[in-house]
Amino acid sequence: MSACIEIVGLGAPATVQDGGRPGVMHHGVPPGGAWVPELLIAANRAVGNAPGAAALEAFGRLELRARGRDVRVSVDGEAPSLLADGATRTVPAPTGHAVRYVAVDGALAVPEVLGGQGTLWVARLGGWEGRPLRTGDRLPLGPPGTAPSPADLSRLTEALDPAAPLRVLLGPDASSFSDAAVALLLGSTFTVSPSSDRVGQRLDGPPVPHGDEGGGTCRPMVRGAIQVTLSGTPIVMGPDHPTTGGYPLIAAVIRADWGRLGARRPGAPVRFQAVTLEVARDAWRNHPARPDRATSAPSRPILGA
Amino acid sequence: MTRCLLNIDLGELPGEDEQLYALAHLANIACGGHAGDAASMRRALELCERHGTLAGAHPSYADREDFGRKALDVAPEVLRAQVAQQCGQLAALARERGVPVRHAKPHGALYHAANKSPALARAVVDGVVEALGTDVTLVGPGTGALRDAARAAGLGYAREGFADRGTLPDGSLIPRGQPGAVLTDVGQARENTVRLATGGAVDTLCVHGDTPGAVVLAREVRAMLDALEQPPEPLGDSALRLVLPETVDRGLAREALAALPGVRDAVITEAHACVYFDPETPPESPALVLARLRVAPVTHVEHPLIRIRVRYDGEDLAKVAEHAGLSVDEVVRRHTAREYRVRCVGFLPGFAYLGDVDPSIACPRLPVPRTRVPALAVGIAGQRTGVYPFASPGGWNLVGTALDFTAFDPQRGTQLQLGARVRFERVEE
Repeated sequence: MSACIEIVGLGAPATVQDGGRPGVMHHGVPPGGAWVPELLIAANRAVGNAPGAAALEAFGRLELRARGRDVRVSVDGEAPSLLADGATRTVPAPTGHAVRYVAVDGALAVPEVLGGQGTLWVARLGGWEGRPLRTGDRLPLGPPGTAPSPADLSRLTEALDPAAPLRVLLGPDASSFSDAAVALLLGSTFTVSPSSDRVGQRLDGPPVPHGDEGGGTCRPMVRGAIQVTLSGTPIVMGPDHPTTGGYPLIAAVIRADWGRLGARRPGAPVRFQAVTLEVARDAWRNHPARPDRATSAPSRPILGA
Repeated sequence: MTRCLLNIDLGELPGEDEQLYALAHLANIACGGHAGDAASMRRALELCERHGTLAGAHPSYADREDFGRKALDVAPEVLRAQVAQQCGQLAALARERGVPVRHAKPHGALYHAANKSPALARAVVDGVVEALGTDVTLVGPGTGALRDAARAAGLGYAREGFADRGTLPDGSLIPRGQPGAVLTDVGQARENTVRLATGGAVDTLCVHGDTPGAVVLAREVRAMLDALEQPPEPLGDSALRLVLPETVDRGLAREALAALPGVRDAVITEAHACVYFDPETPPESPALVLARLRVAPVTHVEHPLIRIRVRYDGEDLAKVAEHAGLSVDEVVRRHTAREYRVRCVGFLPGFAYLGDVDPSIACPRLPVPRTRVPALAVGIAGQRTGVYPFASPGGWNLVGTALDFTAFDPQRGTQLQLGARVRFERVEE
């Protein structure tokens, strides 16, 4: 029997996620990727996988059984533990962060769809049968990889600091908002709403006023963009965001802080801080989720379009 | 990117095309030296006023015979008086109309001679100041005596490049009369425009009003400059949003942007294009790509026609008919009567925004979106229509259900790509 990981128990939704699906937004396909990329990368590195390899993204308790071989398991980049063939391990629900990543050496060998292996629930594709995992699912594993590299967990602590502000670049729809609205966004403390998901994190707090009807002409979107609904609720776009949107964008969370926001649990406080493009680029250059060598090569051509 | 203005030498020739005034930011008006008289100056000033063009003086050696293009030996003091007299005449006529004259540009042979001789340059500047005062900008070559003299006198100085003149490898202009001196080819002028306007070494570009095809050239140059003026807007640190000119082919725009080094994806929406990249490696000048396409010769792209069969059974069909003041059958007839184009793909995988619908059946989106719209529902929102590829929340007015249609294929992506032609066909129950 080929090696697999069996889902024996689930306390909350869990899916297969990976480094994302770059280059297919023009098909209306969101970029995907881990909710907290830093933790996915750390977990993969700890078991010798590629940083963006497919792993489990779990919002609650997870019970796993190794089948077909002994496997090494890392949770959020902690030192890996051995799970013997046939043995079961319970990964407790996340306590520090909103979500937890469980990587297995060899990675989850689920089919690649549109250049990625992550679950895109909105389109019922990717991951395991395009859906959240269920008890009894058996996820095939790839061959065990190379030597693991211990994660520098201190860098993670700083990147995911629960008290740190989320850095944003203001705009691009600044003209839809008054100075007072921008001041309100930057001066208030919001909390992560329980009704957040991979599409977007809603923020509870004072409504942010704007004069835009959200008339619906579709405009470009990016992960981290903060759109403001008619009722004034800010929503920060998550990895599975709609690729276009009609509401005005007051600001966008910088690339280095996507995980910092994702890591916050419902009810956790959120403050925003405006920074310059230079600060944003600097933060990314020194960030643990940044690829080892930022490549300027276009992502592999997919679909010939 | 600082603004680069188009200046055109005007008021020189009879039968000059009025459009040149609309295209120029700055009009250099011949004021009697090499061409022009009171009547032509009045006309030029009137046209400047009508089109909001900034009027300026275009003094020259007093040499109507050779159109000011022959090098003459004129003493600085004489030259100063000539320049002052010419600029002064224009200024007097301009005052009558209440049109300000705030810039001056020496013409032809004087332009080149004065730039080589500090004494002549000072004479030009002194003459200009005598007639127009010091709140004035001198237009001239990037470096040389004219710039030095203007600065010494406290005048503004605009460094000029020539969109319609060929250049030698060292960057200097090919002398008139030699092959390649005057460009009439639109493509070359376009390349010149982009190179000069983005190079940082010029503040204004010139198109000569007497170049053959001046109107066509000026229009291209102005279109290019206008496009370059729209700076991309950062959408966070890993995307740039650009204004998409309506005249550009949407599919070609996407392909051209996606091919830029550093760009990982490009998305077209109603009025924008957006490029995505790693924050460390933003693409250079994506706006230029659109500017080039905007003035490129129209390429006809043959797009396939996709027919989608629809059962018109949508929950909002009666409401749309009521909103339109039409019968349900007439709404269906009008919805199926047109060929639509894919304007954007977004929101959901494979969701294509098709337009425009017949204005009579356009209908605003629902005030409160439905939490669940079934897959393959056909909707109308504003001037757009489209097919929901998946069950999802949605705010469009539902008019029907697409049959035997797959909007999105996990292997191939979206079925309806930018520019594709789409027709709906009614299927009876």
